[in-house]
Amino acid sequence: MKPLIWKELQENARWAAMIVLLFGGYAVSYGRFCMCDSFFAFVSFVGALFGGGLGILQIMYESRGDRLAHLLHRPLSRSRIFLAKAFAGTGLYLTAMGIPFVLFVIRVSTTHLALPFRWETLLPWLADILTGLVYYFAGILAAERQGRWFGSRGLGFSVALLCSFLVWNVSQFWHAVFVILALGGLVAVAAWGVFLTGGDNEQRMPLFAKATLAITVLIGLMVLSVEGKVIAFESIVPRDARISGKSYLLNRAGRLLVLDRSANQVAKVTELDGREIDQFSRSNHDLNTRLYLLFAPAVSGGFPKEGSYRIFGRMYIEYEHKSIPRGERWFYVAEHGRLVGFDIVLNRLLGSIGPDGFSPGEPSKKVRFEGELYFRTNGRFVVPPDCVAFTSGVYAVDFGRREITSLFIPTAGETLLWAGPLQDNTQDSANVVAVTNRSVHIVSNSTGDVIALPLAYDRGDYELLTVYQVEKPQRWVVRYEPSFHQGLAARDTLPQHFVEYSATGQEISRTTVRPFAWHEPTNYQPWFGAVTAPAEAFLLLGTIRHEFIGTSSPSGAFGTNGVCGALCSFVLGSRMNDPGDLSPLAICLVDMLYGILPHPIDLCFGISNRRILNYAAGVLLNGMLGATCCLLLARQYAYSLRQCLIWTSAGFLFGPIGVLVMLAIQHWPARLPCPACGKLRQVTHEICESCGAHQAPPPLDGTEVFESGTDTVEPAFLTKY
Amino acid sequence: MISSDEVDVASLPDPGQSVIRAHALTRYFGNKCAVNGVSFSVPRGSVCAFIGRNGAGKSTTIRMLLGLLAPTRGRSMILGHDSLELPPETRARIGYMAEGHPVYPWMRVSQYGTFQKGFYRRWNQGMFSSIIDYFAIAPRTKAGELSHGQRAGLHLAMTLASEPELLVLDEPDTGLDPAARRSLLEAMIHFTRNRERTILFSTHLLDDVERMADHVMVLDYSVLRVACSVDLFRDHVRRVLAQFSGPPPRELPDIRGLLRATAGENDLTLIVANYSGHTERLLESVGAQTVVEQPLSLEDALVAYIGRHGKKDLFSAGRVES
Repeated sequence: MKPLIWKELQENARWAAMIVLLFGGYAVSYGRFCMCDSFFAFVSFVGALFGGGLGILQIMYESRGDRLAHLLHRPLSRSRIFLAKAFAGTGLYLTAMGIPFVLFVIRVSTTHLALPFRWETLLPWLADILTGLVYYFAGILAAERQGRWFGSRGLGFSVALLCSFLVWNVSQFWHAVFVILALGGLVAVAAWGVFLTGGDNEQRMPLFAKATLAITVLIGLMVLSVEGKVIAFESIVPRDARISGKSYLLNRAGRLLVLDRSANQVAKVTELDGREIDQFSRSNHDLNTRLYLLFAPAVSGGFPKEGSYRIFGRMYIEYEHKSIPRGERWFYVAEHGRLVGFDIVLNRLLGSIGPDGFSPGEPSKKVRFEGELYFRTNGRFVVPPDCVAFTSGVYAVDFGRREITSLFIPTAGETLLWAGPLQDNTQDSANVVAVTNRSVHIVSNSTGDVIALPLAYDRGDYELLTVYQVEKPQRWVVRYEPSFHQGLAARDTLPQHFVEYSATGQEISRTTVRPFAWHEPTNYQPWFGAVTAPAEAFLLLGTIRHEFIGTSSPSGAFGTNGVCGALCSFVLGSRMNDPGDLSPLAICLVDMLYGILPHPIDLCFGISNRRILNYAAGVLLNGMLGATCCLLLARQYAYSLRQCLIWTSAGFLFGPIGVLVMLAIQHWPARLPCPACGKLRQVTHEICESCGAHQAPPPLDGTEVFESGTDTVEPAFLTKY
Repeated sequence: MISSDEVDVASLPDPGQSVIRAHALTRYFGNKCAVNGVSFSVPRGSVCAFIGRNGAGKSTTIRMLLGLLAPTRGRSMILGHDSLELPPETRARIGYMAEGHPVYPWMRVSQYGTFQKGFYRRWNQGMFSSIIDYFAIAPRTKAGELSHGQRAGLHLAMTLASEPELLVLDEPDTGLDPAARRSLLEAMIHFTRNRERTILFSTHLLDDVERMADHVMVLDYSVLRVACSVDLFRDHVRRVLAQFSGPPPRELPDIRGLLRATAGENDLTLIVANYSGHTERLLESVGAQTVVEQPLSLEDALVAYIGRHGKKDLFSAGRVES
């Protein structure tokens, strides 16, 4: 095996060298730019391209005819030949992608970068490198497969794309590693199986390898199917038409109005009863400014955060504040519990700011901020508020002057949940809102006085708060919206409350309004049932039910437990309706799946809903079509009863996808007319499936000369004459 | 798809000690039948020439014998093992020169020696070097820079240096100049000095067959027509001259085994396989006054086989070339 590994390394080293030069140079030259999402996207892209390309190159040259024969005719089993290739290929890939990684680590270990480097921040990079291995095996599979259905060659890449998607969106690094191992292992075993047969006869493949090939093809097709449906839905129903653009807002006088930014080209402001009072052209660039002037200043909080190993917020958070001088970067570093500043020109540490003020030098062993820093997430980006808020208090920091001022310290027994500036565009400075587990505190920007507004609704049900500052006379309004952990359907159905307070914090009134559904169910959604196989629908509905509908929802139509529930819990991590950090995967799935599946609101009402009935009928039709096609194919090729049952079941479960899997992994030999009965018979069978006649030997023309006594055909005419 | 009703080739009678045995080997590529029900055996110590026109199915048959390609139907055994399950140690006993002599273009000739050596327990570096030397190949040359003949030499060196028991050569001499061909033949003759060694080679060059082979197989458009010793072949294929009083007839009766018929002014020359008295009587029935057997070289006999037109109907209709 060693010579073969050596040969593979020699043959493909140039590609690896190219990658090392490209990446290594970049990592060494632009170290600090290597710790951002766009660079990781670049790593993912290059890893996929290099991995897939290497796999194809390693196999393609020796995949056919004499070259394949030259490779295979060695005193080595095919498995060992494959192993040698895979060993060399993965080694080259990891070396090429790993050297820049190591160079970067050496660089940041030996020199200062203007960022608080932590080992954990390298995990996304590592995960992206490892993902390339799935593309590598997908490349091998694509190059060696000679399936009758040519399109099935590329389905390994479809699995690899799914792997990338999951690696980018799962919450924990070990989840990402698990996904890579599972999908990479799957494609690798499929590639091994195909290599054993030379790519052209899956019937001789070991059962285990054949099963993995079938799963690879199946997953690949399901990914394409889901993505195809999402694209189709996006094309049929524009985003503007399906996302409800209606929302409640307060004008500066405190009147409750409806802002409608739906599909039409004009944004309208109406009374609650629908009477229009103003409209704006959506193309107007100063729409937002006009809205700011019309509506009361507000600040919101209580949103769940996205929790992911790719978000550095757990380790450090970069502050973007108007007081930060040019040439400086300031971070909150969780390890030190302080704000740490760097000079980005000289790549040196400036010092740190803590509750005790600024101190130069290393931030360790200094006074720490107590509790956790409050920040919001937007996708994978961390958005810290203007004021520095911890569970223990709120501070205003002037980074240029290196000054820190305490704005609000919660009383004993209170825990700060979030804080933010209540910025009025007409004024320079902002009041600060600090929300604790008991009340809303408004810190005056002029006097520093604190007004406390006790929470009017249970925080468990209404976690999402918006605080408005209304005028003439000055008052405060707190809006209560259902918590995210109650589920998407609950958020679209539970009422919202507006509680008005006087300037001194006395409650004046309460108003309850019905919510506007975030996404309206469309009549297109049931039609997607017809292009969704039963197994696919079960998996997707199980996922969406598990992720987006609260456990307290009225429907029992789709169980949240069982296979889907277990899978979701494992792969997705925390559920969308669980308290705590959100899984980015759950958010991605919300965005992708809501259009092509029955709406969560419909799901809540179970099969009594007509849209659900239509969807279920479509799914059944899809399954029946698949089952019929598979059964016909199986009968045509004289499958045994057991095989007929297996493939018909697969056809029903996976619909047309099941038929394509059958076409992709089964052997479809030529069928020629039987000389005895005239019906088509498979050339692989010694006996005709219809009449039982044996395959006829090749016709004799009298020119045959054979050694007597050998197992050759005796020419008939010799005996005749 | 392997049907359960296949014959176990191992259970077939084996009159001599056969190195290769094939039974009803059939291979389809889509709807096209490349090899149709080929059955034969190759005795140990023989030099067996495998002849056929381009596309006749020689390379496909060889690949099936070596287990590099799965047959659609039928089975074969090589050195006592099922071709599809050849263990590595048995494969090490088989030398194989693939058609077209594929090489890794970046690899130097000397590196090839080291590379191949790593696979084989028995590796005769001296033989490798001497064959390389014989073909005037510089060891530092990259394989991609070698001429066609030199590439054949490199392949031969790699194949023979592993000291195989059985040598399978797929058109080893195609595209070689006469000198290179001569070198190749000499190397093969050297190899067969040890009578325990067997060679199966496919070729288009019929004088090589005459010089080298003691067994011959002819594959005629996917169907095996001949598989016997050269002597038996010579014995069964005859050339006869039929004299007529006038011009010979344009149409002949159905003469079984007719390979070629050439018309002269008053005569007709036929090359016939499995010649018998029945053929003579048929010729007399169409007016032949005398029928005389003529000597026929092996090359001419083989040409008669592989030089036939694709459509057999021409012969069965008894048409005569003029």
